[in-house]
Amino acid sequence: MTTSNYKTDVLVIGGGLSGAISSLQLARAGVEVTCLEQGNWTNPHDYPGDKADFELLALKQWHANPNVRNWKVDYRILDDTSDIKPLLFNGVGGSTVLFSAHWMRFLPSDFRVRSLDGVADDWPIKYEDLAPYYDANEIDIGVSGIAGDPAYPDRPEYPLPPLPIQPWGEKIATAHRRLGWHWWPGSNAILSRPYASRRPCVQRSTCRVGCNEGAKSSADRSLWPAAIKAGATLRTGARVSRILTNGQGLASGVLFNDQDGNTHKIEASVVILASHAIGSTRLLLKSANAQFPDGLANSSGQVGHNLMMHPLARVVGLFDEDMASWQGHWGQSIYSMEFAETRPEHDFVRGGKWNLAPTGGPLTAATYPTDGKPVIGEALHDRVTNWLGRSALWGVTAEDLPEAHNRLLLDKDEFDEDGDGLPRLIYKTSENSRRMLAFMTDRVKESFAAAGVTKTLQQSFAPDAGWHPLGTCRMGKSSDSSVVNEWNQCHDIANLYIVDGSTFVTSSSVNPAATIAALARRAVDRIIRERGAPTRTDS
Amino acid sequence: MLDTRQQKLFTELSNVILPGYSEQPAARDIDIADGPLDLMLRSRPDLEQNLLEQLRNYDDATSKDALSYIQSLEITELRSLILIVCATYYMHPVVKQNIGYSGQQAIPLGRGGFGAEELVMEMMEKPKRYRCAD
Repeated sequence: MTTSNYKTDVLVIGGGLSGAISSLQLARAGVEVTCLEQGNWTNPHDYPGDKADFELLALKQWHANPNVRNWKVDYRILDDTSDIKPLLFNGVGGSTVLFSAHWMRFLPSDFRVRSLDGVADDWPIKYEDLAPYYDANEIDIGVSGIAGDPAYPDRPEYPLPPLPIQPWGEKIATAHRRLGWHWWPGSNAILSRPYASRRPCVQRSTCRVGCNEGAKSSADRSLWPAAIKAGATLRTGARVSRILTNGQGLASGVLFNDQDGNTHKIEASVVILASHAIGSTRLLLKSANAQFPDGLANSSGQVGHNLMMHPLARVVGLFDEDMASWQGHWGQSIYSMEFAETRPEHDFVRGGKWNLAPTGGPLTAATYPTDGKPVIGEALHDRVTNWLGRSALWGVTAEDLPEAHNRLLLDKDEFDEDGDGLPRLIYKTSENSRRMLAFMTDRVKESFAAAGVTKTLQQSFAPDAGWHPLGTCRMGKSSDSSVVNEWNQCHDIANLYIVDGSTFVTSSSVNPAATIAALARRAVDRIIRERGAPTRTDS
Repeated sequence: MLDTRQQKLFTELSNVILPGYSEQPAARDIDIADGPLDLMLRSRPDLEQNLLEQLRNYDDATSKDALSYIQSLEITELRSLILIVCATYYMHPVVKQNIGYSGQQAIPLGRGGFGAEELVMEMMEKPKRYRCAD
């Protein structure tokens, strides 16, 4: 039963990175904006990183897989039909609360995959269209790094200098110089200096379970305080169950439930979906009605299709030297784009991005998944001794190409509290991605060998690393084959926008957060330009 | 909380997974099934049910040889048992001290450089390597 009605001008669904950027920009422009977030604020004092049992808590209570974490605000995702399990966080700041904060721009070629490599599709926008939004976001968010990377077009200097690349980063940098391979100091959404009243990194290396210091630029720390100060309204514990439409075929608002189970209605003139690829797609499908029987914005039939998951491999190199490699930022120490572009000699198209990281404490050393059967006995002691403090981890992300059969749908047998099918992921890793990961792990071992590593441990394919579900509401020029246009506006519903990773046409090999944020800012700036006068009475 | 028999079984299994080695104590030597296990389960009460199930299975096994039992486990069960044992063992202060692990410390950043500045300058001077899109 609907117990109360509200009105706002612009409604944002989801308080993660793209929802925060959208709300911030709208509030700055004097637009009345309300954001509904199903989760809550997290308190940095609750993050386990500064506690003795943090590694144990990271595997359950603070796991990035909502099916494992199983908080009350989490919704179950059926992933037994997916090679890769999804990772995300439901709360203010969204997945940035737990992300590793790698802050990477797409390469120019990422927007022209069809033209350059004859596969997938081109984006309707190009790198230069996003560049100013990448620039502006880095200032608002607080990103550390150094300009001048030859893998990228020229760009302004980062607002903060790079974090230390650490001893293991220096070893690999030296090795890559010898190999003639690309490397670059990591760009991270982590503060290397005091910035915007926030404290810098203390190198505790627990970024993935939330930053106790607030040094990681998760959206709850970096963007929401400014957005609220600028006039945005953020309502937490507000789980949207339906996007509503009116007789004109426009979005008219949403129904949402508070944490006491009460249903509310909020009307809006513009609705912006910013709920993660899984959440937004799910909501479009859940919102099917007589006018839109296949789900909202789905006349193309593309909603839910082309799911990309960024297959990942990991290789740990064991050095002879004790480097206290459980410390540092986790964050990328350095990255390499040596094999990020298509090369004719490869048996795959596109490429992979490498990022180097520290390797955690003793429980991680003992239990980190690697190929083969786990070791016990003296071999287990040896593994911990050789790993702890003496190792570094190359993570390799493969660019995943869109395939229509990889998709998200609503299950027909298992249901959520609204009586709608639970989201189900159907995802099979492509042969192209498998070949790419096999090639990359061999090259990574060469990288380590050149740095003096005598032994590596690898996980050839990491099923537990689905940080980047993308592409299920793809962007395109044609309403026949895409869900949103080049401004993230739904082809079918002119006042409904989608500003998360679901709109990606292709996945690049790099971490998507910077591009999600840039797309959101660009879309919202256009909304602001086209709407004219402010709508908030105090603006 | 384990009863006496369960404690004995857990100690047997733990001691195969983490025997005494070099300067490292055996799981038995830190009384792993007593206080250390209770401490671990306070952090992760969800693991208790799995542990009890594993101990029941071990108790019911025809062979009472802990190594044989462990070697017979499916990989998921084995990983689960190793997690319980290692989590308990590596949180013990004596073990942490022996392996030189002081926990994740807050270490303020220095005001120096980020490292390998000379190598960055070299890389900076290399030709642009990205492909032109248009």
